Amino acid sequence: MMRANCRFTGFVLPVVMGIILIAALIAVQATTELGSATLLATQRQLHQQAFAAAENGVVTVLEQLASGTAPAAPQTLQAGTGPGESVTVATNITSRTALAAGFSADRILETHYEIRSTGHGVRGSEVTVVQGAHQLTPVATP
Amino acid sequence: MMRVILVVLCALLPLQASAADAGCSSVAPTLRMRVRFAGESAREVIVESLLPSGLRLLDATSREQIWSGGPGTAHTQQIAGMDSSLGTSFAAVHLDADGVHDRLYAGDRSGRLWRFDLHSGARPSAWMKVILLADLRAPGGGRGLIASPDVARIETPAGESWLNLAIGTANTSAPRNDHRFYVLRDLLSGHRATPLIEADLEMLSPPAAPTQGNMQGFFLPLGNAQVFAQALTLNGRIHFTAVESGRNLLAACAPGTLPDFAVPVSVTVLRATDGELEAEVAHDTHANAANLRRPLASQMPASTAVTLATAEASNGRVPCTVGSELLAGCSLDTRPGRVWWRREDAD
Repeated sequence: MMRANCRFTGFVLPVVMGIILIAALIAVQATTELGSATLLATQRQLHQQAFAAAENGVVTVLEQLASGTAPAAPQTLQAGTGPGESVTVATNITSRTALAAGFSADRILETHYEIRSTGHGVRGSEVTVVQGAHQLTPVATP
Repeated sequence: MMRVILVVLCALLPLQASAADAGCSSVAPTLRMRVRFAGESAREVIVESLLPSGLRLLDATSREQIWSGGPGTAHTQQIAGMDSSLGTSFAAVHLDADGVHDRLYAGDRSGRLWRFDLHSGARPSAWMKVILLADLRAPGGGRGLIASPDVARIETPAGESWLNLAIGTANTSAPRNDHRFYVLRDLLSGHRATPLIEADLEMLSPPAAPTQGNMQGFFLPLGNAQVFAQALTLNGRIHFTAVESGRNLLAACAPGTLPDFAVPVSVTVLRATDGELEAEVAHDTHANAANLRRPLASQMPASTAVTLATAEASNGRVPCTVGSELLAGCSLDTRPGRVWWRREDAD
């Protein structure tokens, strides 16, 4: 026989509802954090790609110097396959002397360079590296 | 009859053939440098020696004489005590970055090494300060400095720094058997109060190891071998050629010319700081055991120098050659090296 007035006097339902609420909050928090982590990871990956592009720009200029070619200043190179992926490199001579230590004067030239390379990735990511370099070359005889 | 007498006389007398007949070549002035006198802009000039002594500067474009120095009042600047020809023994040095040369070194045929401090912007009559850097005249004379000095800045890990002057001697009259290859130290700023003499220098005695290195310099005895070509310093090592002949090679050549006929030539490599002989040469079975000079396979003109063969560069290395012979173990590494690095973005 059902009682006319049913009253829930137990504690289980509130506890369960509380647990559900807490679980929901945790789930929301986890989802939020997962999204942030993904975003950070993506940003980090993009920066790594831009950094790698900047480093490759330095390597390209060092290869140009090694081949005896004066690097164009500035120069823009394709860095990757995606649109917007490029590297801009500017090469400056910071010092030049014909009196390099350990070498005949006026016959060997010592040049110091500053190579500033900026890797441009997708979504506007940019990384700039600056490399100091040094090179010895024979002085051209007239 | 007269013709027969003349032929016999010519056969008996020492040959005084013309320069062309004896294999002598006029040595074209090869030293160009940049100078600046008061009230003028910097210009390129050619340095030439004068006979019997002194030197002059020619404008490199117009070839007009713009300055001369020597004994006597006829010169733009009087230089006392210069009584021997400088020949073609010149080397100029930049000590700063102002675009004009600051010092000129020259060896004369009596065995003295001169240093000329060039005062950029001074009036021509006071443009050059003359210093006798070294008096290396041999007793009795006849031993001169023919080759251009090889000037190199030397720095040690201890922080010492100086200019090395490397130059060898050759017969200027009767053959001698006491020739030397000198390596002298000059100050980067200032100068000694008195000229260097041979007694100030340490004599190398290979194969014995050199001592810690005389502060003034050292020399390698060459016996009757002579030096006509400028040395080359690479990576702190001095490379020079010597003529393995005690003949008076200059006797057949008019002043201003050098012998260009083929003679036996050797190569020696010394460490610039203390004269230690190159280990590679020391282990070469063809080296002269007494002084470790390595003879070259083919004969060549006495003035053949160790040079960089830029046309033979490979993988960033420019080899050294003596005439047509490649010099093993000698090259200039032209590959650029990384020195420092930084990243400018901070995110």
